[in-house]
Amino acid sequence: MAVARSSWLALAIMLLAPLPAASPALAEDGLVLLQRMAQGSRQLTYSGTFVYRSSGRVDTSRIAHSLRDGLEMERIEALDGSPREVLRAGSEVKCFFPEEKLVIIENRARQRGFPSLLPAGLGSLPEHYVIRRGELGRVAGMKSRAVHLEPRDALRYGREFWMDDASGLLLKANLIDERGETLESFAFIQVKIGGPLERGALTPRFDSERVRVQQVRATEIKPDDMGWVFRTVLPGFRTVSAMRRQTAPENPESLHVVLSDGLASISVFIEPGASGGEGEAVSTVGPVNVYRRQVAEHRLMVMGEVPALAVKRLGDGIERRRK
Amino acid sequence: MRPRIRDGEDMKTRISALMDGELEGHETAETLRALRHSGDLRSQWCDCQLIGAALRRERGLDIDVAARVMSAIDMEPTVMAPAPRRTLDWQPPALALAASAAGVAVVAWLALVPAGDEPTAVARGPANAKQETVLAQARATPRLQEYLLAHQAYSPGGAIVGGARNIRTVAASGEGR
Repeated sequence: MAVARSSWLALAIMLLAPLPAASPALAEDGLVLLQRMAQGSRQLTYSGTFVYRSSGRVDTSRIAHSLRDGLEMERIEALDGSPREVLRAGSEVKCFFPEEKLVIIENRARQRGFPSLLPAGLGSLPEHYVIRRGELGRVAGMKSRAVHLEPRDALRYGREFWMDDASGLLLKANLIDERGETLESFAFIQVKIGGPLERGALTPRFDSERVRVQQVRATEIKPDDMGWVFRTVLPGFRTVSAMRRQTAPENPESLHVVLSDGLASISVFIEPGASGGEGEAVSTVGPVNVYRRQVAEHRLMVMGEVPALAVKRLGDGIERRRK
Repeated sequence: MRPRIRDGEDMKTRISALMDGELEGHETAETLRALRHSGDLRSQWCDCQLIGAALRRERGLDIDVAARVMSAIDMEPTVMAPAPRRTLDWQPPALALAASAAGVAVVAWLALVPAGDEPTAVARGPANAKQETVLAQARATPRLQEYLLAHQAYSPGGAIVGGARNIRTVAASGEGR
Protein backbone atom coordinates (compact mmCIF):
# COMPACT_ATOMS: atom_id res chain seq x y z
CA MET A 1 0.00 0.00 0.00
CA ALA A 2 1.49 3.30 -1.01
CA VAL A 3 2.08 5.66 1.86
CA ALA A 4 0.83 8.67 -0.05
CA ARG A 5 -2.45 7.03 -0.86
CA SER A 6 -3.19 5.84 2.63
CA SER A 7 -2.41 9.19 4.16
CA TRP A 8 -4.65 10.80 1.59
CA LEU A 9 -7.36 8.41 2.63
CA ALA A 10 -6.78 9.02 6.31
CA LEU A 11 -7.13 12.71 5.65
CA ALA A 12 -10.33 12.19 3.71
CA ILE A 13 -11.77 10.19 6.55
CA MET A 14 -10.85 12.77 9.10
CA LEU A 15 -12.58 15.41 7.02
CA LEU A 16 -15.65 13.33 6.44
CA ALA A 17 -16.07 11.99 9.92
CA PRO A 18 -14.48 13.86 12.76
CA LEU A 19 -14.23 11.19 15.39
CA PRO A 20 -13.56 11.65 19.07
CA ALA A 21 -10.00 10.81 19.96
CA ALA A 22 -9.84 7.60 21.91
CA SER A 23 -7.25 5.09 22.92
CA PRO A 24 -7.52 1.97 20.84
CA ALA A 25 -9.21 -0.65 22.94
CA LEU A 26 -8.25 -4.29 22.79
CA ALA A 27 -11.74 -5.32 21.85
CA GLU A 28 -11.71 -3.13 18.79
CA ASP A 29 -8.39 -4.50 17.83
CA GLY A 30 -9.83 -8.00 17.87
CA LEU A 31 -12.95 -6.75 16.13
CA VAL A 32 -10.88 -5.41 13.28
CA LEU A 33 -9.37 -8.84 12.83
CA LEU A 34 -12.82 -10.41 12.82
CA GLN A 35 -13.92 -7.98 10.16
CA ARG A 36 -10.94 -8.80 8.01
CA MET A 37 -11.77 -12.44 8.44
CA ALA A 38 -15.41 -11.96 7.47
CA GLN A 39 -14.36 -10.14 4.33
CA GLY A 40 -11.62 -12.58 3.52
CA SER A 41 -13.84 -15.62 3.65
CA ARG A 42 -16.14 -14.02 1.12
CA GLN A 43 -13.81 -12.23 -1.22
CA LEU A 44 -10.77 -14.44 -1.49
CA THR A 45 -10.18 -17.19 -3.96
CA TYR A 46 -8.78 -20.22 -2.22
CA SER A 47 -8.62 -23.97 -2.32
CA GLY A 48 -7.35 -26.53 0.11
CA THR A 49 -7.94 -29.43 2.44
CA PHE A 50 -9.26 -29.12 5.93
CA VAL A 51 -9.97 -31.32 8.89
CA TYR A 52 -13.19 -31.10 10.88
CA ARG A 53 -13.28 -32.61 14.37
CA SER A 54 -16.31 -32.97 16.62
CA SER A 55 -17.46 -35.50 19.21
CA GLY A 56 -14.42 -37.67 18.65
CA ARG A 57 -14.92 -37.82 14.89
CA VAL A 58 -12.41 -36.55 12.39
CA ASP A 59 -13.35 -35.82 8.78
CA THR A 60 -11.26 -34.51 5.95
CA SER A 61 -12.75 -32.45 3.15
CA ARG A 62 -11.63 -30.47 0.18
CA ILE A 63 -12.81 -26.92 -0.47
CA ALA A 64 -12.59 -24.46 -3.34
CA HIS A 65 -14.00 -20.95 -3.18
CA SER A 66 -14.07 -17.94 -5.43
CA LEU A 67 -15.88 -14.67 -5.98
CA ARG A 68 -16.47 -14.12 -9.67
CA ASP A 69 -18.46 -11.20 -11.06
CA GLY A 70 -19.93 -10.71 -7.62
CA LEU A 71 -21.12 -14.31 -7.37
CA GLU A 72 -19.68 -16.48 -4.65
CA MET A 73 -18.95 -20.00 -5.78
CA GLU A 74 -17.96 -22.75 -3.45
CA ARG A 75 -17.56 -26.49 -3.53
CA ILE A 76 -16.90 -28.77 -0.60
CA GLU A 77 -16.31 -32.45 -0.99
CA ALA A 78 -15.97 -34.99 1.79
CA LEU A 79 -12.89 -37.16 1.40
CA ASP A 80 -13.70 -39.68 4.15
CA GLY A 81 -16.62 -42.06 4.41
CA SER A 82 -19.55 -41.93 2.02
CA PRO A 83 -19.23 -39.39 -0.77
CA ARG A 84 -20.98 -36.09 -0.16
CA GLU A 85 -20.66 -32.83 -1.96
CA VAL A 86 -22.00 -29.34 -1.43
CA LEU A 87 -22.03 -26.81 -4.17
CA ARG A 88 -22.96 -23.20 -3.72
CA ALA A 89 -23.51 -20.52 -6.32
CA GLY A 90 -24.60 -17.27 -4.74
CA SER A 91 -27.78 -17.95 -2.83
CA GLU A 92 -28.38 -21.43 -4.15
CA VAL A 93 -26.99 -24.39 -2.28
CA LYS A 94 -27.05 -27.89 -3.72
CA CYS A 95 -26.19 -30.89 -1.63
CA PHE A 96 -25.36 -34.10 -3.46
CA PHE A 97 -25.77 -37.50 -1.84
CA PRO A 98 -24.77 -39.87 -4.61
CA GLU A 99 -25.37 -43.01 -2.55
CA GLU A 100 -28.91 -41.95 -1.74
CA LYS A 101 -29.34 -40.58 -5.27
CA LEU A 102 -30.54 -37.39 -3.72
CA VAL A 103 -29.94 -33.73 -4.38
CA ILE A 104 -31.28 -31.16 -1.97
CA ILE A 105 -31.58 -27.62 -3.22
CA GLU A 106 -32.02 -24.75 -0.86
CA ASN A 107 -32.46 -21.32 -2.33
CA ARG A 108 -32.39 -18.59 0.19
CA ALA A 109 -35.61 -16.70 0.57
CA ARG A 110 -33.86 -13.39 0.36
CA GLN A 111 -30.30 -12.69 -0.35
CA ARG A 112 -28.78 -9.76 1.36
CA GLY A 113 -26.32 -7.83 -0.67
CA PHE A 114 -22.95 -6.45 0.02
CA PRO A 115 -23.64 -3.89 2.73
CA SER A 116 -25.14 -6.39 5.14
CA LEU A 117 -21.96 -8.37 4.99
CA LEU A 118 -20.33 -5.53 6.67
CA PRO A 119 -19.83 -5.46 10.32
CA ALA A 120 -22.74 -3.42 11.56
CA GLY A 121 -23.72 -6.60 13.35
CA LEU A 122 -20.27 -7.36 14.64
CA GLY A 123 -20.11 -4.02 16.39
CA SER A 124 -22.14 -5.30 19.33
CA LEU A 125 -19.98 -8.38 19.85
CA PRO A 126 -17.79 -6.76 22.53
CA GLU A 127 -20.88 -6.43 24.73
CA HIS A 128 -21.17 -10.19 24.89
CA TYR A 129 -17.64 -11.44 24.38
CA VAL A 130 -14.26 -10.43 25.67
CA ILE A 131 -12.34 -10.19 22.41
CA ARG A 132 -8.61 -10.54 22.57
CA ARG A 133 -6.06 -10.30 19.82
CA GLY A 134 -3.90 -13.38 20.27
CA GLU A 135 -0.43 -14.52 19.44
CA LEU A 136 1.16 -15.15 16.08
CA GLY A 137 1.47 -18.79 15.15
CA ARG A 138 1.45 -21.16 12.24
CA VAL A 139 -1.49 -23.03 10.74
CA ALA A 140 -1.17 -25.07 7.55
CA GLY A 141 2.28 -23.61 7.08
CA MET A 142 0.98 -20.04 7.05
CA LYS A 143 1.81 -17.30 9.47
CA SER A 144 -1.40 -16.79 11.38
CA ARG A 145 -2.85 -14.49 14.00
CA ALA A 146 -5.11 -15.77 16.78
CA VAL A 147 -8.27 -14.03 18.02
CA HIS A 148 -9.90 -15.23 21.24
CA LEU A 149 -13.52 -14.62 22.19
CA GLU A 150 -14.59 -15.39 25.69
CA PRO A 151 -18.31 -15.20 26.48
CA ARG A 152 -19.40 -12.69 29.12
CA ASP A 153 -22.33 -14.88 30.22
CA ALA A 154 -23.47 -18.49 30.19
CA LEU A 155 -25.67 -18.12 27.11
CA ARG A 156 -22.94 -18.62 24.51
CA TYR A 157 -19.73 -20.50 23.89
CA GLY A 158 -16.24 -19.21 23.41
CA ARG A 159 -14.36 -19.13 20.11
CA GLU A 160 -10.80 -19.21 18.96
CA PHE A 161 -9.94 -18.17 15.44
CA TRP A 162 -6.68 -18.17 13.55
CA MET A 163 -6.46 -16.14 10.40
CA ASP A 164 -3.85 -15.83 7.71
CA ASP A 165 -1.90 -12.74 8.66
CA ALA A 166 -1.48 -11.63 5.06
CA SER A 167 -4.92 -12.19 3.52
CA GLY A 168 -7.32 -12.47 6.45
CA LEU A 169 -8.54 -15.94 5.48
CA LEU A 170 -9.78 -17.99 8.41
CA LEU A 171 -7.44 -20.96 8.78
CA LYS A 172 -8.60 -22.53 12.00
CA ALA A 173 -11.63 -22.21 14.29
CA ASN A 174 -12.49 -23.78 17.63
CA LEU A 175 -15.74 -23.74 19.55
CA ILE A 176 -15.08 -23.83 23.31
CA ASP A 177 -17.61 -24.83 25.96
CA GLU A 178 -17.97 -23.52 29.51
CA ARG A 179 -15.42 -26.04 30.85
CA GLY A 180 -12.83 -24.99 28.31
CA GLU A 181 -13.28 -28.14 26.23
CA THR A 182 -13.21 -27.88 22.45
CA LEU A 183 -16.61 -28.87 21.10
CA GLU A 184 -15.66 -28.67 17.48
CA SER A 185 -12.68 -27.62 15.51
CA PHE A 186 -11.92 -27.03 11.90
CA ALA A 187 -8.47 -26.37 10.49
CA PHE A 188 -6.87 -26.20 7.11
CA ILE A 189 -4.03 -28.65 6.72
CA GLN A 190 -3.15 -27.32 3.30
CA VAL A 191 -4.40 -24.20 1.57
CA LYS A 192 -3.63 -22.14 -1.49
CA ILE A 193 -4.82 -18.55 -1.33
CA GLY A 194 -5.34 -16.63 -4.54
CA GLY A 195 -6.31 -17.81 -7.98
CA PRO A 196 -6.60 -19.24 -10.41
CA LEU A 197 -8.31 -22.38 -9.19
CA GLU A 198 -7.63 -25.68 -10.86
CA ARG A 199 -9.87 -26.43 -13.82
CA GLY A 200 -13.08 -28.01 -12.63
CA ALA A 201 -12.48 -27.12 -9.01
CA LEU A 202 -16.01 -25.74 -8.80
CA THR A 203 -17.73 -28.34 -10.98
CA PRO A 204 -19.83 -31.00 -9.26
CA ARG A 205 -18.36 -34.47 -9.54
CA PHE A 206 -21.64 -36.27 -9.20
CA ASP A 207 -24.08 -36.11 -12.04
CA SER A 208 -27.52 -34.88 -11.18
CA GLU A 209 -29.41 -37.17 -13.53
CA ARG A 210 -31.67 -39.93 -12.24
CA VAL A 211 -31.64 -38.49 -8.77
CA ARG A 212 -34.40 -37.30 -6.54
CA VAL A 213 -34.43 -33.55 -6.18
CA GLN A 214 -35.76 -32.05 -3.01
CA GLN A 215 -36.33 -28.35 -3.34
CA VAL A 216 -36.84 -26.43 -0.12
CA ARG A 217 -39.15 -23.46 -0.34
CA ALA A 218 -38.69 -20.66 2.18
CA THR A 219 -40.67 -17.42 2.26
CA GLU A 220 -39.62 -14.54 4.42
CA ILE A 221 -42.34 -13.15 6.71
CA LYS A 222 -42.52 -10.28 9.16
CA PRO A 223 -41.85 -11.35 12.75
CA ASP A 224 -45.12 -9.65 13.71
CA ASP A 225 -47.07 -11.89 11.39
CA MET A 226 -45.91 -15.20 12.69
CA GLY A 227 -48.55 -15.61 15.39
CA TRP A 228 -46.06 -16.39 18.14
CA VAL A 229 -44.35 -14.28 20.75
CA PHE A 230 -40.98 -14.77 22.38
CA ARG A 231 -41.43 -13.75 26.00
CA THR A 232 -37.86 -14.39 27.01
CA VAL A 233 -35.20 -12.11 25.64
CA LEU A 234 -31.73 -13.61 25.60
CA PRO A 235 -29.30 -10.71 25.98
CA GLY A 236 -27.62 -9.89 22.68
CA PHE A 237 -29.71 -12.26 20.57
CA ARG A 238 -31.88 -10.57 17.98
CA THR A 239 -34.24 -11.95 15.41
CA VAL A 240 -32.45 -11.83 12.09
CA SER A 241 -34.87 -13.78 9.98
CA ALA A 242 -38.35 -15.27 10.12
CA MET A 243 -39.73 -17.48 7.37
CA ARG A 244 -42.19 -20.18 6.46
CA ARG A 245 -40.56 -23.21 4.97
CA GLN A 246 -41.80 -26.28 3.18
CA THR A 247 -39.79 -29.20 1.88
CA ALA A 248 -42.48 -30.77 -0.27
CA PRO A 249 -46.07 -29.84 -1.16
CA GLU A 250 -47.44 -32.72 0.92
CA ASN A 251 -45.55 -31.63 4.03
CA PRO A 252 -47.02 -29.05 6.40
CA GLU A 253 -45.42 -25.65 6.47
CA SER A 254 -43.30 -24.86 9.45
CA LEU A 255 -42.09 -21.62 10.89
CA HIS A 256 -38.37 -20.92 11.13
CA VAL A 257 -37.07 -18.00 13.19
CA VAL A 258 -33.34 -17.29 13.42
CA LEU A 259 -31.81 -15.32 16.27
CA SER A 260 -28.18 -14.32 16.50
CA ASP A 261 -25.79 -12.38 18.66
CA GLY A 262 -23.60 -11.81 15.61
CA LEU A 263 -21.65 -14.99 16.08
CA ALA A 264 -23.75 -17.69 17.72
CA SER A 265 -27.18 -18.40 16.33
CA ILE A 266 -30.33 -20.11 17.49
CA SER A 267 -33.09 -21.46 15.27
CA VAL A 268 -36.66 -21.91 16.40
CA PHE A 269 -38.87 -24.27 14.40
CA ILE A 270 -42.59 -24.46 15.01
CA GLU A 271 -44.67 -27.04 13.20
CA PRO A 272 -48.26 -28.17 13.62
CA GLY A 273 -48.57 -31.59 15.19
CA ALA A 274 -49.56 -33.44 18.31
CA SER A 275 -47.07 -34.53 20.88
CA GLY A 276 -45.31 -37.79 20.17
CA GLY A 277 -45.62 -38.60 23.85
CA GLU A 278 -42.15 -37.47 24.80
CA GLY A 279 -41.87 -34.58 27.22
CA GLU A 280 -39.61 -31.58 27.15
CA ALA A 281 -36.01 -32.52 26.56
CA VAL A 282 -32.64 -31.16 25.59
CA SER A 283 -30.41 -33.35 23.48
CA THR A 284 -27.17 -32.76 21.61
CA VAL A 285 -26.11 -33.35 18.04
CA GLY A 286 -22.41 -32.64 17.70
CA PRO A 287 -21.93 -29.13 19.07
CA VAL A 288 -25.62 -28.27 18.68
CA ASN A 289 -28.08 -28.37 21.57
CA VAL A 290 -31.69 -29.13 20.69
CA TYR A 291 -34.62 -28.37 22.99
CA ARG A 292 -38.06 -29.72 22.21
CA ARG A 293 -41.33 -28.72 23.67
CA GLN A 294 -45.01 -29.13 22.90
CA VAL A 295 -47.26 -26.07 22.95
CA ALA A 296 -50.90 -27.03 22.43
CA GLU A 297 -51.12 -28.42 18.89
CA HIS A 298 -47.63 -27.37 17.92
CA ARG A 299 -44.20 -28.87 18.24
CA LEU A 300 -41.36 -26.50 19.04
CA MET A 301 -37.75 -27.24 18.33
CA VAL A 302 -35.10 -24.77 19.46
CA MET A 303 -31.52 -25.46 18.43
CA GLY A 304 -28.17 -23.80 18.21
CA GLU A 305 -24.47 -24.10 18.89
CA VAL A 306 -25.08 -22.51 22.28
CA PRO A 307 -25.26 -23.96 25.82
CA ALA A 308 -28.36 -25.98 26.71
CA LEU A 309 -29.38 -23.21 29.09
CA ALA A 310 -29.86 -20.80 26.19
CA VAL A 311 -32.09 -23.01 24.02
CA LYS A 312 -34.16 -24.04 27.04
CA ARG A 313 -34.64 -20.52 28.32
CA LEU A 314 -35.66 -19.22 24.92
CA GLY A 315 -37.92 -22.19 24.23
CA ASP A 316 -39.75 -21.92 27.54
CA GLY A 317 -40.71 -18.32 26.76
CA ILE A 318 -42.43 -19.01 23.44
CA GLU A 319 -46.21 -18.60 23.40
CA ARG A 320 -49.00 -18.29 20.91
CA ARG A 321 -49.95 -14.73 20.27
CA ARG A 322 -53.39 -13.93 21.66
CA LYS A 323 -55.76 -12.59 19.08
CA MET B 1 -5.91 -3.20 -15.08
CA ARG B 2 -9.18 -2.79 -13.26
CA PRO B 3 -12.45 -3.09 -15.13
CA ARG B 4 -14.19 0.14 -15.92
CA ILE B 5 -16.31 1.47 -13.17
CA ARG B 6 -20.02 0.67 -13.19
CA ASP B 7 -22.76 0.16 -10.67
CA GLY B 8 -22.88 -3.27 -9.15
CA GLU B 9 -20.27 -5.64 -7.89
CA ASP B 10 -17.37 -3.93 -9.60
CA MET B 11 -18.24 -0.77 -7.83
CA LYS B 12 -18.40 -2.56 -4.53
CA THR B 13 -14.97 -3.96 -5.14
CA ARG B 14 -13.86 -0.49 -6.06
CA ILE B 15 -15.18 0.95 -2.83
CA SER B 16 -13.41 -1.73 -0.84
CA ALA B 17 -10.23 -1.03 -2.74
CA LEU B 18 -10.66 2.66 -2.07
CA MET B 19 -10.97 1.94 1.61
CA ASP B 20 -7.86 -0.16 1.50
CA GLY B 21 -5.97 2.59 -0.25
CA GLU B 22 -5.33 0.31 -3.19
CA LEU B 23 -6.61 2.56 -5.96
CA GLU B 24 -4.50 4.68 -8.25
CA GLY B 25 -5.04 8.42 -8.10
CA HIS B 26 -7.32 8.66 -11.11
CA GLU B 27 -9.28 5.61 -9.98
CA THR B 28 -9.80 7.21 -6.61
CA ALA B 29 -11.13 10.35 -8.22
CA GLU B 30 -13.41 8.36 -10.48
CA THR B 31 -14.78 6.29 -7.61
CA LEU B 32 -15.43 9.33 -5.47
CA ARG B 33 -17.19 11.00 -8.37
CA ALA B 34 -19.42 7.98 -8.82
CA LEU B 35 -20.11 7.96 -5.10
CA ARG B 36 -21.36 11.50 -5.14
CA HIS B 37 -23.84 10.72 -7.86
CA SER B 38 -25.48 7.58 -6.55
CA GLY B 39 -27.47 7.18 -3.36
CA ASP B 40 -27.06 3.41 -3.37
CA LEU B 41 -23.36 3.65 -3.77
CA ARG B 42 -23.20 6.12 -0.98
CA SER B 43 -24.86 3.76 1.41
CA GLN B 44 -22.25 1.17 0.50
CA TRP B 45 -19.58 3.74 0.98
CA CYS B 46 -21.05 4.44 4.35
CA ASP B 47 -20.80 0.82 5.37
CA CYS B 48 -17.28 0.75 4.09
CA GLN B 49 -16.47 3.73 6.20
CA LEU B 50 -17.50 1.78 9.26
CA ILE B 51 -14.97 -0.83 8.38
CA GLY B 52 -12.44 1.77 7.54
CA ALA B 53 -12.88 3.42 10.90
CA ALA B 54 -12.42 0.10 12.58
CA LEU B 55 -9.38 -0.67 10.53
CA ARG B 56 -7.88 2.52 11.71
CA ARG B 57 -8.78 1.48 15.24
CA GLU B 58 -10.93 4.47 15.73
CA ARG B 59 -13.68 4.46 18.25
CA GLY B 60 -17.34 4.24 17.61
CA LEU B 61 -18.02 1.39 15.25
CA ASP B 62 -21.63 2.25 15.58
CA ILE B 63 -24.61 4.04 14.21
CA ASP B 64 -23.28 7.39 15.32
CA VAL B 65 -20.33 7.11 13.05
CA ALA B 66 -22.49 6.06 10.17
CA ALA B 67 -24.78 9.02 10.69
CA ARG B 68 -21.87 11.37 10.94
CA VAL B 69 -20.30 10.01 7.83
CA MET B 70 -23.61 10.27 6.06
CA SER B 71 -24.13 13.85 7.04
CA ALA B 72 -20.57 14.66 6.13
CA ILE B 73 -21.21 13.25 2.70
CA ASP B 74 -24.52 15.05 2.49
CA MET B 75 -22.84 18.34 3.25
CA GLU B 76 -20.27 17.79 0.56
CA PRO B 77 -20.95 20.63 -1.86
CA THR B 78 -20.51 18.41 -4.88
CA VAL B 79 -23.39 16.18 -3.87
CA MET B 80 -26.15 16.72 -6.39
CA ALA B 81 -29.13 15.69 -4.29
CA PRO B 82 -29.39 15.13 -0.57
CA ALA B 83 -29.47 11.45 0.16
CA PRO B 84 -32.29 10.19 2.34
CA ARG B 85 -30.92 9.57 5.79
CA ARG B 86 -30.66 5.88 6.30
CA THR B 87 -30.93 4.40 9.76
CA LEU B 88 -28.56 1.55 10.25
CA ASP B 89 -30.52 -1.08 12.04
CA TRP B 90 -28.64 -3.98 13.42
CA GLN B 91 -28.03 -6.30 10.55
CA PRO B 92 -27.01 -9.89 10.50
CA PRO B 93 -23.33 -9.82 9.76
CA ALA B 94 -23.22 -12.00 6.73
CA LEU B 95 -26.28 -13.96 5.96
CA ALA B 96 -25.07 -14.23 2.44
CA LEU B 97 -21.96 -16.00 3.53
CA ALA B 98 -23.94 -18.18 5.79
CA ALA B 99 -25.88 -19.42 2.84
CA SER B 100 -23.07 -21.69 1.90
CA ALA B 101 -22.90 -22.99 5.37
CA ALA B 102 -26.57 -23.46 5.40
CA GLY B 103 -26.73 -25.82 2.58
CA VAL B 104 -23.73 -27.67 3.69
CA ALA B 105 -24.87 -28.28 7.18
CA VAL B 106 -28.12 -29.59 5.93
CA VAL B 107 -26.42 -32.18 3.89
CA ALA B 108 -24.41 -33.40 6.74
CA TRP B 109 -27.36 -34.18 8.87
CA LEU B 110 -29.15 -36.04 6.17
CA ALA B 111 -27.01 -38.98 6.96
CA LEU B 112 -28.61 -39.21 10.36
CA VAL B 113 -31.89 -40.15 8.83
CA PRO B 114 -32.20 -41.77 5.43
CA ALA B 115 -33.44 -39.50 2.73
CA GLY B 116 -37.01 -40.74 2.83
CA ASP B 117 -39.15 -39.35 5.54
CA GLU B 118 -39.64 -42.79 7.04
CA PRO B 119 -37.64 -43.08 10.20
CA THR B 120 -36.24 -46.48 9.33
CA ALA B 121 -32.77 -47.93 9.27
CA VAL B 122 -31.53 -45.18 11.44
CA ALA B 123 -29.65 -47.13 14.00
CA ARG B 124 -26.89 -48.68 12.00
CA GLY B 125 -23.18 -48.75 12.15
CA PRO B 126 -20.98 -48.57 15.19
CA ALA B 127 -22.14 -45.97 17.63
CA ASN B 128 -20.56 -44.52 20.69
CA ALA B 129 -22.70 -43.16 23.47
CA LYS B 130 -22.99 -39.77 21.89
CA GLN B 131 -24.08 -41.11 18.56
CA GLU B 132 -26.67 -43.26 20.20
CA THR B 133 -28.26 -40.18 21.65
CA VAL B 134 -28.25 -38.62 18.24
CA LEU B 135 -29.78 -41.63 16.59
CA ALA B 136 -32.47 -41.97 19.18
CA GLN B 137 -33.27 -38.35 18.62
CA ALA B 138 -33.34 -38.76 14.90
CA ARG B 139 -35.67 -41.72 15.13
CA ALA B 140 -38.09 -39.73 17.22
CA THR B 141 -38.35 -36.96 14.66
CA PRO B 142 -37.21 -37.57 11.13
CA ARG B 143 -37.42 -33.87 10.53
CA LEU B 144 -34.64 -33.11 12.96
CA GLN B 145 -31.97 -33.51 10.34
CA GLU B 146 -33.83 -31.25 7.96
CA TYR B 147 -34.10 -28.62 10.64
CA LEU B 148 -30.48 -28.95 11.60
CA LEU B 149 -29.57 -28.33 8.01
CA ALA B 150 -31.83 -25.31 7.78
CA HIS B 151 -30.42 -23.97 10.99
CA GLN B 152 -26.90 -24.17 9.67
CA ALA B 153 -27.89 -22.64 6.40
CA TYR B 154 -29.33 -19.57 7.97
CA SER B 155 -26.83 -19.04 10.76
CA PRO B 156 -25.35 -15.58 10.44
CA GLY B 157 -22.22 -16.62 12.29
CA GLY B 158 -21.24 -18.13 9.03
CA ALA B 159 -20.21 -14.69 8.00
CA ILE B 160 -17.07 -15.01 9.96
CA VAL B 161 -16.57 -18.67 9.76
CA GLY B 162 -17.38 -18.77 6.09
CA GLY B 163 -16.63 -22.14 4.65
CA ALA B 164 -16.09 -23.59 8.06
CA ARG B 165 -19.79 -24.02 8.51
CA ASN B 166 -20.28 -25.86 5.30
CA ILE B 167 -17.49 -27.94 6.50
CA ARG B 168 -19.53 -28.90 9.46
CA THR B 169 -22.34 -29.94 7.19
CA VAL B 170 -20.22 -32.07 5.00
CA ALA B 171 -18.51 -33.65 7.92
CA ALA B 172 -21.69 -34.31 9.82
CA SER B 173 -23.34 -35.96 6.88
CA GLY B 174 -21.08 -38.89 7.40
CA GLU B 175 -22.30 -39.42 10.93
CA GLY B 176 -24.22 -42.49 11.93
CA ARG B 177 -22.85 -44.62 9.17
